[in-house]
Amino acid sequence: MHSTGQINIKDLDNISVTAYRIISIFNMLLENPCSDKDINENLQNDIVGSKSLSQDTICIYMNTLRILGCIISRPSRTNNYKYVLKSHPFKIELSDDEMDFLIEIKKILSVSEDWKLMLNIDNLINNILNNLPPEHKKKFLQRQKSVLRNVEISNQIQLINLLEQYCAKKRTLFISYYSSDENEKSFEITVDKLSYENGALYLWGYNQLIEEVQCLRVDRIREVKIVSLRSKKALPTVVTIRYKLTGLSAKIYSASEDERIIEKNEDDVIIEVKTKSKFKIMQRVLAYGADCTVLNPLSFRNDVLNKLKLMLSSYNIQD
Amino acid sequence: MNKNLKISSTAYRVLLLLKLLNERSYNIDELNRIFLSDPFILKTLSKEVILKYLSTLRSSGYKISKPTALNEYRYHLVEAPIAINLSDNELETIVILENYVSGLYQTRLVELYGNFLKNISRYLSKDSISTMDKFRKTHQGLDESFQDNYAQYQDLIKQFEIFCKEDQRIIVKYQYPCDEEEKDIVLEPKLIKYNQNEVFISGYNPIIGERQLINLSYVIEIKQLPIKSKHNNTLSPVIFILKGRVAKGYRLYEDERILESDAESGTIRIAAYVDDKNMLLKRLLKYGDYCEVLYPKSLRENVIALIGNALNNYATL
Repeated sequence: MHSTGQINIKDLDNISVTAYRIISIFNMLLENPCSDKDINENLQNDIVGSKSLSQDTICIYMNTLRILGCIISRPSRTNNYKYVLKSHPFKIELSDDEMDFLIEIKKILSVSEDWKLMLNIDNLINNILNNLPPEHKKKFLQRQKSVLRNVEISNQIQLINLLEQYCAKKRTLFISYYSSDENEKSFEITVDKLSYENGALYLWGYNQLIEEVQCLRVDRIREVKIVSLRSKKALPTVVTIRYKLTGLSAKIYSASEDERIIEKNEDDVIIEVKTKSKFKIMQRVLAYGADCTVLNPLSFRNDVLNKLKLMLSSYNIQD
Repeated sequence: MNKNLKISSTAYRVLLLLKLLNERSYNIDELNRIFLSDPFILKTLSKEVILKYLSTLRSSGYKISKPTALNEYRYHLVEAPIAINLSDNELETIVILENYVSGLYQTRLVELYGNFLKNISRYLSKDSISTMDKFRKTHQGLDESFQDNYAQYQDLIKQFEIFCKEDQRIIVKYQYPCDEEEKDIVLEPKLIKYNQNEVFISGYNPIIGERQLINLSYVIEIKQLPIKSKHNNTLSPVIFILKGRVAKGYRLYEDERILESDAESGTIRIAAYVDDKNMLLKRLLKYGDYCEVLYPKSLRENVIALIGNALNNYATL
């Protein structure tokens, strides 16, 4: 908001005093709703020598602002007989190129798996959007929806901060959760970490009852309660899996954080991964297609074999 | 607009001037063209009158630059009338984005970021601007990992970006690790894609009539051909069905659309328009038996053969 401090009306030379007054009133309304009395008091404070304005004059001034694009509610009982500035036309506007740029950058960065960065970007963009004219905000959101599959996480900052603390302490939580089939489920899990993947924030933890690592979308968590500190923390078993890659996958292979190369030759590479989540490794193995063979443990190899048979049968082809 | 409403016509013109200058810079002639067509003015104003209005705005605290040869004799509102409040975290994010964008090595993105920064800076207070400058100093050297991610591809990225702009066909020489020889393909360059540590170029291959995606890690050389691109953006669809829990929670990717949704069987039929069917296939395989590729027939047969071969791996063990 612009302010020049107190000014004497005699010093207002070669300017439109009326326009000066209306700009002062606009700045007042930006700060707080104002009654006729507030407006006159503030004007006389700001402009020495300024006369008191009649109700009709103030009304004309408000109409001038409204014609320009300001939405100002009339004084009534519900607003304590004050003028309230609801919206104005001096908001920031983003060009189509600027909108597309922000969406493109968000899309590029969403593969970075850095959830804190994505949260900060969401917060920044939401703050900017709240300062856009409504039709620009709508346009941006429509464009974003057609390009990005990201799930909004900036509206869950409190929950995310809590979960981050709980993960650091490996707390056991009782979680109420809306699953993908829209049923509400509840369970206890010992939480481990947050991760950002495929445009959504996930909470990873170990469910002792089913003896499995679970991966929950944070935006679907309805409620979180801490389970008694005295209960024993459940920890998932770390499974060591070995698999072999051949073909193009072997030639272009580069180890992820949780993997190491056991053996490598011209045609293939044997990889060892230690994991708490067999589900994740199953997905990784399936993605390699025929280039991948699980070597051990036998139980996981059989799981993969059965999965491949199910996949083939879904094409109505028996193995 | 209610033209019978009582307003102060002079104040309206001054505020309209403020609104216009907030959108962009103007010279006197341009302002008068707008005043002439405005239903509450309907005439041109003398230079003296416009100067008086500018003086009113300056007296109200708005900084308006004087017209000079450097700014093509236009009046420019240096700071926006209303400031946006950004938290320190949000200001720091703007600086982090600056480093990320420069690490993508695309001139177009750097320019767009510059325009965005110039636009938003007008709405920031002096304190916010100086906070951003402090964050720039703090982040100098801190964000080198962003710069390093794609540094090895920067020359190819910049070259491809120019080719996209010039819109002429190119010939790409590449060799995948399993290829014995180098290969050449002709492309009409379209865009650059990033996926974690990898960069891909996307273009339309006029010989096979399809879009293709090539990993820059395997590109040896790109040369421009003296033939204009024909703007062919044809992407043939891959149609697949999703079932069970994967169908229930599925979020569409860009360039995907739902063809059919069957609540009874709990399935959805999706068409994906992608420039790299192999990359799509990797993702679809992850869905296991919850996904069935329907079309094109060649891809469906490819998937069946792939699963069959994968099963054979276990038969030989």
